[in-house]
Amino acid sequence: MRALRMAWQQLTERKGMVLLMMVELTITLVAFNVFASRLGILFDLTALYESMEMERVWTTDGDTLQEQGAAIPESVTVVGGSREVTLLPPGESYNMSADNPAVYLWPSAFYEQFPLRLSEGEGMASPRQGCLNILIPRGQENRLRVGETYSRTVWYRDENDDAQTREVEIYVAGVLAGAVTPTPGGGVNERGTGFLGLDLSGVLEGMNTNYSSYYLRETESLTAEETAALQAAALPLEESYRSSRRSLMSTMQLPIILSIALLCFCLSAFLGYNLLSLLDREKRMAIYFLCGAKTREIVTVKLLHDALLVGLPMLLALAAMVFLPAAGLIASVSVPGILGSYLFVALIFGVSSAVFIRRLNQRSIVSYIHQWL
Amino acid sequence: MSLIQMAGIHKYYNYRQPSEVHALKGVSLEVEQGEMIAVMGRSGSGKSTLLHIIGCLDNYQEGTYRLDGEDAGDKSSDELAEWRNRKIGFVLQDFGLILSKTAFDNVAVPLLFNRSVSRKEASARVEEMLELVGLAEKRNTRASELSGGQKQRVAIARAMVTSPLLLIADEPTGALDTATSAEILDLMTGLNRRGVTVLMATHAREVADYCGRCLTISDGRIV
Repeated sequence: MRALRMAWQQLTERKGMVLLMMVELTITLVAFNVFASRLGILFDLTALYESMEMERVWTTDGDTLQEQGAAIPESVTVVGGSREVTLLPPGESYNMSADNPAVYLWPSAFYEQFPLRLSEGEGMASPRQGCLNILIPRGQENRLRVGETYSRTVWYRDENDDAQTREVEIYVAGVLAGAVTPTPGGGVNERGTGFLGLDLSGVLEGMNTNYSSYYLRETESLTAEETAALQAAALPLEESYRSSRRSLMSTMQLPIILSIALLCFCLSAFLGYNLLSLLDREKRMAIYFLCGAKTREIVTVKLLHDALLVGLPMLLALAAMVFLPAAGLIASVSVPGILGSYLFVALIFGVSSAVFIRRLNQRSIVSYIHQWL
Repeated sequence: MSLIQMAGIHKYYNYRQPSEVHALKGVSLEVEQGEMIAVMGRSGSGKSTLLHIIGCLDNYQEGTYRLDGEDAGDKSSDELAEWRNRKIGFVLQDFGLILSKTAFDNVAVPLLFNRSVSRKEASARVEEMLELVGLAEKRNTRASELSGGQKQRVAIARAMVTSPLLLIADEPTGALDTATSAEILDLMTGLNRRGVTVLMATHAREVADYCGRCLTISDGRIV
């Protein structure tokens, strides 16, 4: 406890410099986590499209899928039925907010052909009759728990294209392995507000059969005019993927540049701080030794000082990473991002400590007394 | 019983290496409790080395050294650290203060490493020592803002805060003017009168005159 108090006092003796370094390190860690979160989404996006086998064309008669070819011709859009309903808190009316969670209703054939990658350790609960069964993206487990039912107001359009609301029970049947969900537009929802609907039977009969966008081609059930209209309206899937990827990459540039630049600043600032305070620290160690400190105590104070210097920003950054998803700035905190933060902090702490201990081994504390006192 | 008993102490730097230096050559010394002794000698004669060994800061290769009846050679580095904390106080030419800390915090440093003293007791002891050296009103002043004489008073207060048996002063007036030197020496003489044994390294004869006994070291030997 005394060592901790002494380490803290040492930090507060150079308030300005220490505060600057802590702020810099906190921003670096947050930028790094935002970058890692975006990178995680990019991986999820790639995995999602790969699992869809987008290079092949599939057709369906409504019940089964059949592979039609090895590549998507430029002129052909892979189309199919996907609809979207909006979830609102019970009793609320739709206010056109983009933040309202949506359920993307893909045909059952979609799920049969493209097995959904579920989060490790999270099994798929059996769909519940009479409920709107949904799968949630990774990162939303704290908001909606698997196996729980929730009352919601569903906003949708009926057969006459009129807006309707209905009170339903939604049932969380599982968690997806990725933090993204495929949207009817061919892109992905990365904000954690898109869920996949599993089974509509007995819940939302009377919905508009005009699909909001298309993924699978229903060769039998659509007329030539309908098919032509769908092809005109929908984007080729591959183009959607590229567009989503481009969009994601553009949002990653700033955090990447910030992370790398601040990483360099942080390392140089920390080493600079240690070098600049080297003489002062050696003199201080000599004084402590003179006053009866054991070598072990001197080393403990120094290591605690460094641990506080990097540990406090790390805690602040972690707190920020809890706040950022809540504020909608990022979809979710990625585990690799958090682990990377720990690794980064450990690197700074390790380098600093190694230099200190190596120097202490080369020269005993007595030599500091000869030199400084 | 003598406070310090040294017999045949040899100290080498870079021991058994081509650059070996034989700093102390069989030094023997006895100091009684309550003495005030000047250790004189030229630069490089070995007086600082002798004080470092007596102060348990440095080790030696041959001979025996007993402090307060106990053999320093039998002690671990942790036990020697406790001796430095409880039995020995140091005053240095360049004061050896942490300039960014206040006078109070500097005096309190030895008590940070003394687990037997509570925070409340430590605070009371520091106040008492600052009072003793006449710096009670400067308790919250940073060491960097104190004059040379005031810094040395803070160093003396720090050396005395654990009520040591022995005060080791290495050129305590070396960085001070004549008038301030006299004040510091008066202060140390006062401490000696209260029973503290004082060992003081100095070049100056007028400083040595404050002491009851004078040892001269030349080429690693007491002459």
